[in-house]
Amino acid sequence: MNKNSLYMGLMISAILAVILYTSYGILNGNRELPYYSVSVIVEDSSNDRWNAFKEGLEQGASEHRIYLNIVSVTELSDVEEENAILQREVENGAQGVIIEMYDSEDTEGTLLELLGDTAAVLVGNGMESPQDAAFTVVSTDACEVGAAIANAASADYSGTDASGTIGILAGNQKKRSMQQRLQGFTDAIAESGLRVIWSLSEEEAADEGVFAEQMEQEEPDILIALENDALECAIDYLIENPDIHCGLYGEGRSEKTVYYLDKGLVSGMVVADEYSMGYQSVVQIAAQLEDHDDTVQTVTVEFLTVTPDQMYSEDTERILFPVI
Amino acid sequence: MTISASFTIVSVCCLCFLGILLYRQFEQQEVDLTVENSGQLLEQTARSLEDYLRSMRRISDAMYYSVIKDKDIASESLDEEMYLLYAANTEKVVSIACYTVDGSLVAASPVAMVKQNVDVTAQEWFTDAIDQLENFHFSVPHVQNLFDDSTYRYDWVISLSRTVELNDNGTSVLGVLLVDMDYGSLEDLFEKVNTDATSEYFYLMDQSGNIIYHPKQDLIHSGLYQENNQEAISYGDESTTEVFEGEKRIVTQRTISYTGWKMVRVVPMSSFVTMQDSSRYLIVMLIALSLLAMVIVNQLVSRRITMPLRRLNDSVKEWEAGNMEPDIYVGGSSEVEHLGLTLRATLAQIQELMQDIVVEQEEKRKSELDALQSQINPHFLYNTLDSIVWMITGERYDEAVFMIQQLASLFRISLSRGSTIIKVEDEIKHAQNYMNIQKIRYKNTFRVEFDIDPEVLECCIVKLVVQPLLENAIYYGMEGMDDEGEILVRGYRTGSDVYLEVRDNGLGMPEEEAARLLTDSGRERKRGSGVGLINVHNRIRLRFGEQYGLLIETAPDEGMTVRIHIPYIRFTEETQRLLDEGKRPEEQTGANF
Repeated sequence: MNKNSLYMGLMISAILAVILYTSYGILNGNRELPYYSVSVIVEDSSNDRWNAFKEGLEQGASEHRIYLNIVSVTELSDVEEENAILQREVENGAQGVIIEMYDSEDTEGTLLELLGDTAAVLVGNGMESPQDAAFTVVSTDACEVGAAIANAASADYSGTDASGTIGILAGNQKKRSMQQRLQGFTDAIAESGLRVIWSLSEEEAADEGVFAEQMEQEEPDILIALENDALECAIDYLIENPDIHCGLYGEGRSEKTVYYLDKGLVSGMVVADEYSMGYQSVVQIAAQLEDHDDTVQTVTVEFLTVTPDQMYSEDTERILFPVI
Repeated sequence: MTISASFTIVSVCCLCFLGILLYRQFEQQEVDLTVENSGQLLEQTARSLEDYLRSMRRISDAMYYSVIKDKDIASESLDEEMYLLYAANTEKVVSIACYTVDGSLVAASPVAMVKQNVDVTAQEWFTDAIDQLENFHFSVPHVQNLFDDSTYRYDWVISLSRTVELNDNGTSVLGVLLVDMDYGSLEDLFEKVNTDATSEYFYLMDQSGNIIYHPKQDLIHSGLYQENNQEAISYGDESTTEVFEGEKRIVTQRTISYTGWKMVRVVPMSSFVTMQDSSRYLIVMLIALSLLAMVIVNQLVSRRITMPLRRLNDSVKEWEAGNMEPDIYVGGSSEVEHLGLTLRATLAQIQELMQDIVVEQEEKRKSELDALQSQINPHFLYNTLDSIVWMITGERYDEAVFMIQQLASLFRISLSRGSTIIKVEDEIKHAQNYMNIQKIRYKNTFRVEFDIDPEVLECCIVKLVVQPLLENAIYYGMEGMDDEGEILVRGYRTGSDVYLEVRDNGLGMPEEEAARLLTDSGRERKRGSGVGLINVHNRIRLRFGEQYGLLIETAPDEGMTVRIHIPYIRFTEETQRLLDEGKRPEEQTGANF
């Protein structure tokens, strides 16, 4: 082969290489990137209290390549039930799971085993040992939430003649977040002079009549509900017993709790920005699936303390009344 | 290659230039098209919104001019007409209500329980209406806070409020008419245009820059997303390019009539990237394909141009390599064809001239040879005739007759019918005749012996080459001898070579002097015929080639041997003719020498 043929061959090869590369670029440019299937497991998922959370999830999913599957879950009775749902989702091909853990105690190992290679983000609750956390957690600062409820209650009762007794519906105390809320509440309330006379966990209050019996035995001046279901339970009790006049404070999110806040039955309510929680959950799981970023994060979501006279302010409206 | 490379470089430059221009043009057209489409879509959406708002104003007008103005609120209810109006617009309207200026409810539809402890006079829609009596007032979206809904329902609304004159028992009093528009209708309107898969979007803000609708408004309120609405409010109703949070975007804006709201369409430049990538790949591919076609065409064109030149060049190279009659290529374009024809004619002319030169040189050589040969005759003839005269004068008639016979034989061989090539046998006979004459002249003071191989006798030789050697041997070898001299003439063949040597036992000479015998043509001879060894040497080389000629071996007092070296060429008429013509018999069609 003479020099001319060699140069010509090289030039034609280079041109053909460019043609192949650009053809690949054109064809590849039209190819859609893959979508990831993510299952969302939260207790009582059809409850309207999750509306804002779901909105946030959907907003996040629309910005990332995520197919959301919000698993239909009724009220859970134990962690095994939740694990079974999780296992089913993983076996059905979920590439990621956003889950609110029913029980935070000694469940990390089981969760890791069940998930295998499936990406996961915990919402609402961390694990028992946050310093060694194996999972990204998106939640409010539970201690702060508890303290905010305490502050709302103590602010309304400071300088009054009320004896200042408190009864607490402490919710599911197997959840780390609920434990922290209770801890945050008791720490904050200790400085106010108000006194906790009883506290019932969800498990303790599960038996019919236990809560009512406790109220009859020792009616507090202030009733505290540390989570939405407990607050709804307290609302129901106070509606059924109009003669009982105790201040009701707690953490809520559902339309019912907001309505009774508006009615004044609930004197103060802490509302988490669950829209943000849902959105951040998807962002975090998308980072694991799309970018293969396995860095464990703890994302803290803001919350508001709302009283009846503040609930129509511009900032509060957006949190309380998510645009569905 | 140079032509092809030049064509290719020029083509690449032109194509790249065109490609860049094309790409820029595409890019600008794409941006222009997007801006134009953006403007059109914005216009359509704005008109839809204006229609929607207009329909809300019509509801308000209908309620006011057709119902409120005709009723005395002290005695008549507005409920029925208000409900009919509400029912006709239930998809767009959440509620219609009428309040007195002190905030008392006159009528509302749908019928609902009024919330306790709600002071409507403090609400923004109410104060706006009271503050500016003549106008319609559109509020920013808010949650309706008027009626109690036991189903826990709360509606996001945009309130359209206006002051109205109420007839209260014949007295005209001020009131406020409120039409709460369903915010969901507005959302639906925008969601229809925000479903595009690209990252462009529409949003709506009031004249103060407060966001009324944004596809990410919840994220904005959560602080997870930022919008440049406060700066965008200062843009006019046109397309503006802005850089916000490091992203370049085209922002097109339109003011919604009556409300002063601004509808904004945002097109991030990054949304062009995918399209631009495709365009870029396409343009590069088109350039590459064009380049490939151009290279191939260039090759063909340059080959078509250069091939005749190359073939002509090959012909010249062939000629340079020694082929004196190359087949000169004639073809290609008229100019190249003309070159070929001219070169062919020139070569033919050169060939002819060379032939002429060869002939001329041959003639010249022949003339020289003839001249050399002719140098023998006058001296020798003079001396011999002089000897014969003296023999006759001395009455030695037999010797004179013998000498004349020998002389006649010598001249017969010398003539050889004009040929310069004779058989060795004749040359030896000629030498014998000569020696016989010389022996008589020198009174047999030396002895001659001939020892010639029979096969040597049959080969060709240039005539009259042995005789000068013998003459040389007599004059330089024999004359100074005290004893009887001896001359030996030998002829023998070695392979393809033939050697004839003349050896004498004379005085000999130093090697340096002997060497000059073959090189110094200007050397002055003391005696003899004047035909020196150099004469013989040159004649042999002229006829047989440079590798042939004479070799001299001598030393002082040891005699001298002069050896003729010629190729073995068997004598025939053909070989004689060829050699006479200056050609080698075995190379009759080859080059001359």
